[in-house]
Amino acid sequence: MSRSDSSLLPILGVARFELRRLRSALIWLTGLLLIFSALALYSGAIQLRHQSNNAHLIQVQEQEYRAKQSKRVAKRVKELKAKGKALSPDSKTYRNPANLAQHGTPAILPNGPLAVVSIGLSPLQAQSTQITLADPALLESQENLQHPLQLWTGHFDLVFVLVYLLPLLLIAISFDLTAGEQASGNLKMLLVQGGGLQELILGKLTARVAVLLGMLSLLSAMAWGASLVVNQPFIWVRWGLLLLLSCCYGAFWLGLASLLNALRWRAANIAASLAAIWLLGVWVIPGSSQQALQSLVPVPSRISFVQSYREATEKVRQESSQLLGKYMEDHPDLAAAGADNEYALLQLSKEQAIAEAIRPVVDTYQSQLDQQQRVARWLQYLSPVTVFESALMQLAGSGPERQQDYKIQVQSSHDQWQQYFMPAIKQNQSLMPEDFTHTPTFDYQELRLRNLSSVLVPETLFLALLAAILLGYSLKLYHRYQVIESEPA
Amino acid sequence: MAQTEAIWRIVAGQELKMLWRSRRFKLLMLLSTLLFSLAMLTGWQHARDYREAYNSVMGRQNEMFERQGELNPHSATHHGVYAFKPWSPLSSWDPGLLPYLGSAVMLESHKQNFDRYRAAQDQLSLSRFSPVTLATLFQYLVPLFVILLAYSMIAEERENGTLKLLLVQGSSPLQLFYGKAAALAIALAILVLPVLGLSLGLMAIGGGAIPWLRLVPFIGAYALYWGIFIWLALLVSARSGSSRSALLILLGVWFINALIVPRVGLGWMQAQHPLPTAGEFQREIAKEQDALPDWDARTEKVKAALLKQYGVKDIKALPVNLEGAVLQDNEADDTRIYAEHFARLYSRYRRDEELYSQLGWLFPTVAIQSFSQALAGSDYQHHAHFLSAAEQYRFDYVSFLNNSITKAQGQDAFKYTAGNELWKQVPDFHYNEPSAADVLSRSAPSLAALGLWLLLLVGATPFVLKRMQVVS
Amino acid sequence: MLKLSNLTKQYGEKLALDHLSIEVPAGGIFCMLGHNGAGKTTTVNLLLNFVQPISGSVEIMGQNLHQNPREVLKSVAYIPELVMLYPELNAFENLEYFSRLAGKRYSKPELESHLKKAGLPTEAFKRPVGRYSKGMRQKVGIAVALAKQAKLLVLDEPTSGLDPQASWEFSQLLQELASQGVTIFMVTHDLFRVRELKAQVGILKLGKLQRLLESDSLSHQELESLYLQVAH
Repeated sequence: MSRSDSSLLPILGVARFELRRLRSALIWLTGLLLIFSALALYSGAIQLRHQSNNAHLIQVQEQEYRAKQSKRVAKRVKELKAKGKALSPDSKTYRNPANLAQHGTPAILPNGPLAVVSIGLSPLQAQSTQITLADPALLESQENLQHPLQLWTGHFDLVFVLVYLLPLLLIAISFDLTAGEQASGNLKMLLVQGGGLQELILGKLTARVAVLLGMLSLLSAMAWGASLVVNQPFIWVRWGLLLLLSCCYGAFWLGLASLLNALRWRAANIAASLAAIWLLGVWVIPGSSQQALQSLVPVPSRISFVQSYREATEKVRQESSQLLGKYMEDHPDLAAAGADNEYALLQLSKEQAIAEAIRPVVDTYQSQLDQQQRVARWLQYLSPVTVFESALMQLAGSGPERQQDYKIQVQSSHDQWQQYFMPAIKQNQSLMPEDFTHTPTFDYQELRLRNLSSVLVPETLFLALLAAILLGYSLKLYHRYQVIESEPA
Repeated sequence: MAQTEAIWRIVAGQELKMLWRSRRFKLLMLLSTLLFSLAMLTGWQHARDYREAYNSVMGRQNEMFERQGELNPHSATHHGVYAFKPWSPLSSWDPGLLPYLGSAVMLESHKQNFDRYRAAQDQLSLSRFSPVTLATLFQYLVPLFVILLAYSMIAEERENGTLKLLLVQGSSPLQLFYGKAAALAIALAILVLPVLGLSLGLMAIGGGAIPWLRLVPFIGAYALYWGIFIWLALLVSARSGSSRSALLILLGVWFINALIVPRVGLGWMQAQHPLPTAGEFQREIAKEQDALPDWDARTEKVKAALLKQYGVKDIKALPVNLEGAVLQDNEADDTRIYAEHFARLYSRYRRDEELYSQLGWLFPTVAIQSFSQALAGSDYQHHAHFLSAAEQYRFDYVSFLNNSITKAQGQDAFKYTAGNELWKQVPDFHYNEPSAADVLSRSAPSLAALGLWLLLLVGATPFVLKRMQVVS
Repeated sequence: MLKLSNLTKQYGEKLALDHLSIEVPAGGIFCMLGHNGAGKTTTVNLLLNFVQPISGSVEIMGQNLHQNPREVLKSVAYIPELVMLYPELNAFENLEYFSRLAGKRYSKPELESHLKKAGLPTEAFKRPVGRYSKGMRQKVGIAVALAKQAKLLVLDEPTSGLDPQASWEFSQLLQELASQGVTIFMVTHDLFRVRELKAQVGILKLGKLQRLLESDSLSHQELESLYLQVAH
């Protein structure tokens, strides 16, 4: 008991000494980190504004459209009432509910909970979908305008800083944990001065963990400040989890550096190896496993899919004369409504026929994609970098999961939309002015952390475990570390 | 003089011998070979799949269009056709922007559409850095390969004291430098030449002519680019205090070139001049379209013009179908409005691409990327070329069909139908890439930037080496 | 054979060598003694043209070093304090490389005979030099000098870190080379070894030559007391 008490002080002493040694490097690195983070948050804020401007405009446009239509309907209804005529519309007019139903309502995906921190995949993802009577799976997604060159280079967001740059900063201060001192003979002197090697290493690691924590606090303050500036709520719980993951990730890189040092490599070799491992982790492993996966489980070509869809539509068009009759047979309740709504019903029956015809193609396509995603979920564990990045994007809401969830919500909103309009269409009721403000609207329900836990928990555990193994193993190696050169002098 | 030549050869031979024995070299070779094999295979497979899909889809679409049966020609323009982007042979070496650009554009009347179906949207989220392609390996991995081999080549000789010995034995610093550069070049050739040979073989098997006019400058530019890194790495190794600091400096150069500059440079340009949002873009167009005359006003206008043109008093006496002419008049207005807005947006993209490539004067990686994408046909300029050809075709075929109504004098324009004979007469869309000469003259500055970099480094070498410290 | 005239070198403010003049005849041995920082290594660096003097000149075999360093250095060989060589190559390969740089191509038996002559045991020839002791690496260094057929051999602290046996062998080797007409210039701390050689001894202090004497004219004690007296 007394041993551990007495060994704590030397560790802290070593840590303080190390921080002093690293001082000038730290000033540089902190400066770099500040600049990079500021740039990252700036570009995050710009992208966020780009997206919210678009969302706002879509909504404004929708309101304008509805106001205009509502006014027209009000005027017409008044005229008809004045003349004492029936209100039932003919199927092509704006008073027919089928027209509003086909016009639809925009389903907007708002910015993610930590959007200012992570741009992630969002520029490539659908930001809004017009919910109509057509199957949303067949609709063209609506993305915001994005610069193709920027999509290619990728965005410089804070997640990029954390995933790609933070390891390099940590490598820069820890590749030479003991290698330089070993080579110069300082290590021998240090040990003769008292204190064990393990205390020395623990002290050195403590200093670097302190640096990591300091950097993360700096980032927290900046990210919080940035979200105040762009007037975006800052979800502290999510940020806290993000910090936890970052600590594990940082510890992983420290553990790796410590391990190579414990293996008695030369400082330059350690630096070269860490750089190579970094490249393996960020690019080579994920890039090549993605490529291999796409080759082994190929998704059918998009352009073939388009053509199949067009062929289905064309077939439906050529058969459209028979379609209505069949549709009527399927829905005997419609016969009562009379022939006025024939056009609207024809449209509906076409939508349905197309959806049915294309379903097998959509299903094959989707099942291949799903299969890829399933394998990819496992393959990401080949590189801790990918695991970390995926976890961060989930927390920030810029990854594939949130988009997937959005599509599910759009689908269910579509079903709701259909159910809302079908009775009116079938009965050929006229739209009333107030109907334009009463249709169902889409409101995205954010994915709960609880729903993300099935992915987040294993990812966090993986990173933590990996860091613990590396650190533990390197300490074990240091336990048997020989300070003397093994080669004859 | 004969002896001067011999010395760099001796040094080169020695360096190769030592490289050959080092574990570092073997590991790097193994890793690179694996990655290159993967890149070649997947690139070839992707090209093959795309070409197959393209050919089949083109055939199916033509057949569908030509057999759509009795239909109003203007309705046919509403059904539309797709213009699919053909595969450019070198783009399996450098897909560049292609995954982020649409592979098809819907061509229909009244509007110009955005290109759709970007491959990146279906891609997995495993890798956010860059796909593993021949080009990215050439751009990122090969320089790193050079750096990891070269950083210690001179600095370590100084640390070990062998540098003094070498100089006393009769080698000059310059000869030593050239010998080491030659060794690196040979090591690189051993890695890259088989890759180039195999890729060419795969391209030849895949059918189609090998685009030599694009290929030769493409490879030449990469040779310059690698030369820059060989020279830079050795110069840094010669000048820095230790192999460790040489390594850190070189990794920093690589990192800034590969990761920081592209993202930050482009992000900065975007921040200065933000793009319009999709909503704004559509809204602007809609505003102008709303200002166009409505159907009745337009009919009056076209009627007056036609009566005047044919010198008759009554529409019944016109040799053409008035409504057909009105449709076409409307199409011309719509086309003009869309063309203006799209041209503004696309030229914005093009201008940004050009501006960005100017960064190549400072950062060789940017220069090689711009040049490589231009030659491979995977840059935005090529895409814009395709889009404008598609838009031209759209207007032509829509006009052709509208005019077929105009010719149907005395018929109700909206009930008039045509049959398969008419569809067969509609010309097909054939797209030809810009010529290699055009591309070369446009992207010459990037090549010049690479040449200049290498020239400067080579020219500076004697001066830098003159002040090289022999004693550590 | 070797003539240093008024060599002066300054590093920043500090005067490292102050008008140093030395002359060594062919086949002669010159030992330079002095404290750390006295200017010994600077002299070696100047001798080998690694650094340039502010003033003064070096003449080797009657030729000015600074006018045509490459030509002059053709007859000079150098053995640094730590002969690192290329650790992953064996003695043969190291010797072959350095000889080829010097413009000499040797057959295998010739290389072997140089190594033997330098005193390297035959069984060590094929082992990587990285596993050699300092004494063995120094012998490879001697072999490099022999193979170059150098007329002037410059040595930097050759015996530091050698055991007495190796050190004695080394002195014998130097003496033999000198008797064959090779001029030897060495800087050292090793007073004891200097006494064994028939050499000129110069004592350097703060860049100035304080004393010049013949090694066999003094006993060991005399040399030591003189050294301590002069150098301090």
